[in-house]
Amino acid sequence: MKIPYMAVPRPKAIPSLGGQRVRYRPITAIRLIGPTSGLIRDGLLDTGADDTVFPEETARLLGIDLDQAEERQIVLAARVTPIRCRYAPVQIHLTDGRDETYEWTAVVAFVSARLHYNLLGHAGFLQYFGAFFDGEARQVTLTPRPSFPGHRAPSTNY
Amino acid sequence: MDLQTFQANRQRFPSEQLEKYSGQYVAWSPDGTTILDSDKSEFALDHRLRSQGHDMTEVLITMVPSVDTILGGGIEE
Repeated sequence: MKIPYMAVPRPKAIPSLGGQRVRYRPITAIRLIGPTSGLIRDGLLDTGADDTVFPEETARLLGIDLDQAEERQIVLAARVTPIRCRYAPVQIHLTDGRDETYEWTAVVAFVSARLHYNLLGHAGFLQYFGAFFDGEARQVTLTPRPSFPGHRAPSTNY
Repeated sequence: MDLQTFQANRQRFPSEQLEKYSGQYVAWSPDGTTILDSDKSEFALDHRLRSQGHDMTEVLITMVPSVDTILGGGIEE
């Protein structure tokens, strides 16, 4: 599955990119399905994230009760102060909208913080794929590995 | 939702208009051409759209990071 980077125009020139005004980020839309509803959200494919992370508000919207969920303190964005994180299973759908759709269930982290982007990290997401980040072509290629716990679905859209 | 059409249209959305929503959650129309609504709270935004009759399985909600944001993980203070 090939996922193009998302172009994010910036109003000022970006020094680290030779003055260009567009950042490119490996962001993809995913569908989440919980006990009471399904949602579509963006997620950042993040090889630096140990877990797959969403805000607690997303859990509430999905109908996931976090009261009895296993809880940890995690550090996001390499900050010193950890924040509360609670874990629960959620069904994830990933599609390129053309040829491939994958569905699986993963235990993901819900944090008590707002996020710029939901993080599609190692546990629950990238651990199941070979991932090739082609920065020049601005495209990620994801290939499901034998450990992938879900299935390939016939639908190619959300 | 036709994801290919949605993403193509969303990428054509004027950036200066999108910047007005910096730091907020926005809800995109299923075809990616317009922003239906926005809010500081994802929960409040979702519920407001549901109450208006939108099918939330067809509406993508996402945060619009501030224009000067340099991602280094994902948390917003």
